[in-house]
Amino acid sequence: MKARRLKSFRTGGGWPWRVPGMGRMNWILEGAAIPSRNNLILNSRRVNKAVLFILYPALGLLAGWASIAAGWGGKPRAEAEVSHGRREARRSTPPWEAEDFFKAARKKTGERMGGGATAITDLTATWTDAEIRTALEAAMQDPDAMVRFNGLAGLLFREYLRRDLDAALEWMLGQPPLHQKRFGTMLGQAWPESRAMEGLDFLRRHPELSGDTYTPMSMLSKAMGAVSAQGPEAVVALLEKLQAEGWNLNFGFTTNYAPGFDFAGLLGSEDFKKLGVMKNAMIYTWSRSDRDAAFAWVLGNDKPESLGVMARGGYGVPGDTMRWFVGKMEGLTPEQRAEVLDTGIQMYSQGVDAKAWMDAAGTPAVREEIRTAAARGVFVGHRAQVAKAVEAIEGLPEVEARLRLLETMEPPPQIRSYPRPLAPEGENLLRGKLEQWGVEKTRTEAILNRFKQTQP
Amino acid sequence: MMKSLPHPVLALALLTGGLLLGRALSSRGADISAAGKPSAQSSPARPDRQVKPSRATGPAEDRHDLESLLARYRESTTRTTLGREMERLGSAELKALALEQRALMDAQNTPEDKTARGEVAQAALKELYRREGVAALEWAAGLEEGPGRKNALGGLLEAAIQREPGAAEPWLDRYFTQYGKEGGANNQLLSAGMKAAAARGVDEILRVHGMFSETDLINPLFDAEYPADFDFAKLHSALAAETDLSEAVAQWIARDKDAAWAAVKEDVEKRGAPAAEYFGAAVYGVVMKEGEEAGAKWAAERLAELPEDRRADCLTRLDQENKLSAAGIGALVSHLPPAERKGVAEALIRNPQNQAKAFIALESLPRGEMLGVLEAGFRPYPRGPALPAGNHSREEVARKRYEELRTRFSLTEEEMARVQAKGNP
Repeated sequence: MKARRLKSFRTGGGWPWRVPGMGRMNWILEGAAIPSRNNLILNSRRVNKAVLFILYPALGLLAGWASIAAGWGGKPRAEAEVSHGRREARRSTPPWEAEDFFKAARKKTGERMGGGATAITDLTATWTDAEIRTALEAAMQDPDAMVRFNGLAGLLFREYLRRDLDAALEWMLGQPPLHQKRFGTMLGQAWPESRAMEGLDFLRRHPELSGDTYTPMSMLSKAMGAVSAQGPEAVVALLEKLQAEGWNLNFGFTTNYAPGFDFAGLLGSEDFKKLGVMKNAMIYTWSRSDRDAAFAWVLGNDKPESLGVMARGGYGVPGDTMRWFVGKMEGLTPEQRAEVLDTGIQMYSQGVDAKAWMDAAGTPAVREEIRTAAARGVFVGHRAQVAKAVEAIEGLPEVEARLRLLETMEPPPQIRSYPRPLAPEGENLLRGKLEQWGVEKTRTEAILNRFKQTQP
Repeated sequence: MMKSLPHPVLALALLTGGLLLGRALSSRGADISAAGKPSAQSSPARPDRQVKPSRATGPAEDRHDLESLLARYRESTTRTTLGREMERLGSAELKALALEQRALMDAQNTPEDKTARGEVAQAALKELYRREGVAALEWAAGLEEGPGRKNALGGLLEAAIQREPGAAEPWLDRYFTQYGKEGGANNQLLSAGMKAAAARGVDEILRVHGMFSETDLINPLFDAEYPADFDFAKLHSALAAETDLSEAVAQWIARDKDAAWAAVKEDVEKRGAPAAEYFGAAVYGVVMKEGEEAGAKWAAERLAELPEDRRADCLTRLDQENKLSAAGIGALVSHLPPAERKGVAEALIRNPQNQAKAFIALESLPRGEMLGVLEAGFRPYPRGPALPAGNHSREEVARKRYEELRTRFSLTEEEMARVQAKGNP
């Protein structure tokens, strides 16, 4: 942390603040320091002596206590991350600034999401591996610790893995099969990427541990990231081997690849295409490091719907990514955009924030296309999708325009193949809205009938 | 008139001595560690409206053992470093930090960065709510319309629903009226509220649950922690049919086997198949506590207590989550009556990725039955979209797996032909 000047204790609303009664205290101290018979309050001779020997120290004690509470002075102390009975140091160090908070939080998210350090790494910094193991074995006696997803048993095992992979694995294989399975689900995330190929080998030797979906995904992902430094051919060769061994390769994304990895080379390679898997995963991974290049490649080499991979995920998509994507869509043809919105992004579905997309649109034409795509949610029939569709439709100021949309819009391609009738809650919602808009009855029923039919 | 006035120097000495002693004692105050005992109450849920920060009672001692680690871990999750540092900021600074960090989330390139920004923002809002309560919500409501306002309200609501559901309720309604219930906030608040309520007891959980509608979260109590005296019976009675209480059932049965089983049994008898998942959860809880052999025996005995039509449902769902080991399956079928072993095998054979368990179950069957199960359910590889022309990997995998099967069960050519005829193309 950078050194900063101490903030005055007078400013701010938190610590430190003025101690109530200090003024009064000051007065008493001042009064007592002036030895004059006229200033003395107490006037009983004997009581006076005893009480004063008590009173003065007591006043001093209170003043001293209060002065620390108010933050005056004291030795400057280093920030203590994990204080083991040491003093509360923070009162003497400058308050954090925004980036300090971010760095602290980032350390934690890196631990949790990166699979390296765990939530207890700092707490067990001074422990030996043997102590970790002992605590782990004790934790295994507690069903709560084992059943709960983030129970301490799992954290201790992951900590053990982090410290000594080989010892932890050996220990694990000595446990009852049930516990091996339980801990086996944690291997993929905790396994160091530098030893990813060993991890695959380990899973090959212990297939009973890889039946769970978690382990293969992260382990495979790491292995692919590890070989990516050798280029697309190496990645393809690994995938071919894994496919021939029967591993399930139908998953959606992978870890970061080596800088400068030739994604275009990979996606364009005939051997990769022949695998028939992981195209979307690769597009998505590429877009995380160079989204413009990924977009351009897909537009030039694949169907428009594949573009949607880069911005799918609705409410989970970063706003920045979404706004970039909407901007790119301006450069597509209306037909391409329709395919992107319907099949790629699935704007009709509940999970996409249509309003945000519309707000991000630069031109009215694109905005209306997004609105129409969202409005198609009525064809999905469930209340949530209908509600979202109606919200988009209501954005049109003129009721007549809303009705025109409802009366003319066609279902998205997927729904055409598998039509879904309007569910009762969806119908009630839509009917209520139409009534609210003052639509007369026959027209309302005609509109509802469009969506109630099971056949288009 | 005074005869024995204290000498000024003596007076000063007494005062100074007291002063120094007072400072020393005050500094050491933080060291007096009321060691965080592993307590059942893990989340500080009492409304705390004081302006001054919650003073640390001092961290629990690190004795390098599980008990002290548990105490220190709980401490670290309930009072994080982030939270402690937030306590030092003024309210205006907290507000600025929350808004700024949340706005920065969008521009982050990695999930770790994005989540970190969000966590800082949420920690700021949480401290703001702790300090100001409803006044914080009023501040957020007064912000200019836009994502900043929505996020601030949502974040404060999360803090509020965790601390004081009652105070949060009117604000929840206002939020949903304005922003609708789609978008994940509904689910997130439900889950945050229910999980925080667990420490305060089942009535609180139910109260929070009752405040929400149109959520579609199957398991809002995911990874919840329940205090030692928690009333699982009431939780089960109220929510077993509405949410997934598998984890709670597993934890309950480890604490009170008979009471938990009685509730699960009644539920299964009443609701049939939808309740059958809890049979598996119960078995898992016993297995976790007593091991697979004892758990399998217990499972078989309990199954025998159920009416026949319920038994089949329970058997097929018993290991739905694929948590038991092959040895555990072996123990299970060894304790089951022969007629019921088939159900276990049929359920397991459907998962091509873990055939070891299916094979163990198959071995317990008479040959004719075994072949029937294989014919009906054996798949050499998982279903998936068709592979491009020229890619024969699936056929290769199938060939290898059929070969393994043939060897394992000494299948004749005729038997193999029957199995392959019905397996995946």
